[in-house]
Amino acid sequence: MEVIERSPETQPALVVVPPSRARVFARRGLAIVKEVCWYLVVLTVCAFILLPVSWMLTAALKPDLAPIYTIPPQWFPSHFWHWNNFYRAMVYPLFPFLRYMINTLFVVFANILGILISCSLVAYPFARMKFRFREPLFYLLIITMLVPWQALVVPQFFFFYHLGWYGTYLPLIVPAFGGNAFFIFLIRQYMRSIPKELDEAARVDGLNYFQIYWRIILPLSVPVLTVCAVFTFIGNWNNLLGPLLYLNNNNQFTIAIGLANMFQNSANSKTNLLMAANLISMIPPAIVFLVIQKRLIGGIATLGLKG
Amino acid sequence: MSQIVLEDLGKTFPDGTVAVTGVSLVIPDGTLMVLVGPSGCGKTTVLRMIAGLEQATSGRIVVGDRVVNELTPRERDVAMVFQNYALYPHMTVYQNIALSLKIRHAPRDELNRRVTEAARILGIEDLLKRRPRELSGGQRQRVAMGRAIVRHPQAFLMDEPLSNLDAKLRVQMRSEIARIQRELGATTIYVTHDQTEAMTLGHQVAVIQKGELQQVGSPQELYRQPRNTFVAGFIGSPAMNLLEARLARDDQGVAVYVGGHRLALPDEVLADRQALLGYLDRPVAFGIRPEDMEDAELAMGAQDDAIVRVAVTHHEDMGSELLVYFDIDAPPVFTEDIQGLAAEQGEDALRSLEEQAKSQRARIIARVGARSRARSGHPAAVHIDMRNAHFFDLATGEAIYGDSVGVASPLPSAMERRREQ
Repeated sequence: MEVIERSPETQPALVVVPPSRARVFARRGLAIVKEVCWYLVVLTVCAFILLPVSWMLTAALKPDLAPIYTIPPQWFPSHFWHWNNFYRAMVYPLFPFLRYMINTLFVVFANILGILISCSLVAYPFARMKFRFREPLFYLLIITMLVPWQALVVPQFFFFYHLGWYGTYLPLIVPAFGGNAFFIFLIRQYMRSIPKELDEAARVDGLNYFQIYWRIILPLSVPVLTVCAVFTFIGNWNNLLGPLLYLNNNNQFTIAIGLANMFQNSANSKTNLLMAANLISMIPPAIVFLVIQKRLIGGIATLGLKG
Repeated sequence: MSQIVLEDLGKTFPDGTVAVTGVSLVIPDGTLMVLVGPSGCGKTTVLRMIAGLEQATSGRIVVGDRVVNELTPRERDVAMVFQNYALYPHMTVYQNIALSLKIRHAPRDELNRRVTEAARILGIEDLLKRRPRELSGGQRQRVAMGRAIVRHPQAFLMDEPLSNLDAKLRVQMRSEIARIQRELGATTIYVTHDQTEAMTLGHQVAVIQKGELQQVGSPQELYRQPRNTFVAGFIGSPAMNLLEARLARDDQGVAVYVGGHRLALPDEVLADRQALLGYLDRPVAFGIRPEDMEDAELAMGAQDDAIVRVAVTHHEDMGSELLVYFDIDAPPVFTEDIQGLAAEQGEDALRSLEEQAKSQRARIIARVGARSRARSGHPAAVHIDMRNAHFFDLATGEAIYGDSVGVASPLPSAMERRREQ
């Protein structure tokens, strides 16, 4: 049999002898070392994520003719502090930055609206009502998640093209009103966790199914709806392929495609301004995250618990 | 408010489970009817069928003058209070209470007036702006009631509304519910598994077991004249002692032989229950309530032929009275019903009953006067008030009353005598 040596930490709590000062210090010291190590790990990871951003900032602050792609890369701004590059990026004549922002916000919010309405409307009966073929239909819905989007790009394009929607925002917005299997699944799981008695109480109170959905279930599903809204926001903000396929007019472009276009032409353009524009375009998602962070984590946590 | 009539109501779930069979019940206008029975007996299903949350598979439900079987809960105009209150968490108390009126597009000032009125009746006027999670259990309970009474419905349905409260609050809310029901004169159906609640609250009590109605009557009727061993064992606390006995006639008259004891049966009992004569020399189930026994020293007019001398195994001094436990060398009644009742009380009770049946020694509880000197480990003489003895057919569990079935016994019960004291 193996003899286990007891370190001071694992002494049983029953021992009444108060630990000596030295031991207390040793324990405290160990805790501090642990803490420091932990912070080092976290900081390393953070640096890994933030260094490119810092490089972007460095580039954005450079004057028009300063070399950007230096070797070794300049990670931190040191010599140049041209803050008005940010302003220049926003009013640069060939690059209607504010226009792009507005377009993007429009597409994003239309998508959020569509997703919230359609997905919650579909999830509600799946979660709270009994009807024939409920389970098979739900599985069918889930199976659609398995179809890779790459397979759909071309047929979808032709579909929308023949509808005459090419060059409009419709192909970017209307599908959201048709629901999204993953969000439906997410919302359904959440709705299932709401006590059944609430529906019953509401029915006895005289509410019909739509009123139960609208007045009871929907307000109670705000956490999961927030999660869906944020995912939709980020997804659409960063969406490059969709706008690239369906939009052909510079005035319609979203920020993602605008930046990409500018980047392609960067040979005769100003990389410092591009970087500044990039940084500005990161702000809205960052704000969304900061504002909703608490709710979002709460929502995801409850989803995890109850899903 | 209206009368509610259930006609041969039945419910079989799609998976074949029979929850309720042949329940016929008349709940007169303004009555508080309690449905009581062990858990899983189908009482809640009955309630849900009346509310319209569950579709009846047979029979008719009549609320007022309408058959409501095919109506949605919305059209039935009944209000329900749920066991867990089912308050809408995202709404304030005011919104919770007002929702049903709002849905019906009640004018704003009428809505306001009715919500305030309901809040006043329940004493929750100062809570109207709070949300359910900021309320205590008792307050939530009141809000749930408020949601029901604000509608002025045809009837109230309450599904174990007090079971989530602690014991003290439960007693308080119990009298509160009785008061509100009286004030509103509301036809109410109240479901509970707690027989004390049923007895104290109900104008009428319906005992249900395994989806079937066992007996309907006033609390006193159920207590004095239980129709079968199930009702006998279910109503009353501590429960009625039920043991096997034999009826026989000897030169001194008819007597009950319980184990080695002979208990003379008064002539008035025989006169009242002619059918008993048909059971002579046959085993019967003999039931006696703890409160119908008394320490022979304290019993006034105790007759020798109604006294058993026993060894007290255990006693519990309640202050106002003494619970005395002793064994009698007769088997306890061990029918399926009685086993079910024991199981309801917990595994220990069931195991104890099984042991008693195996050893053919029934454990008896007597509730005697506080001045009794009966103590654990000592012999005692216990007088049994045979006028309040109950007899049941061992095979069917049906009570043996003879001609006087359903008529309240003219004899004052122990309960009443106690009250008079």
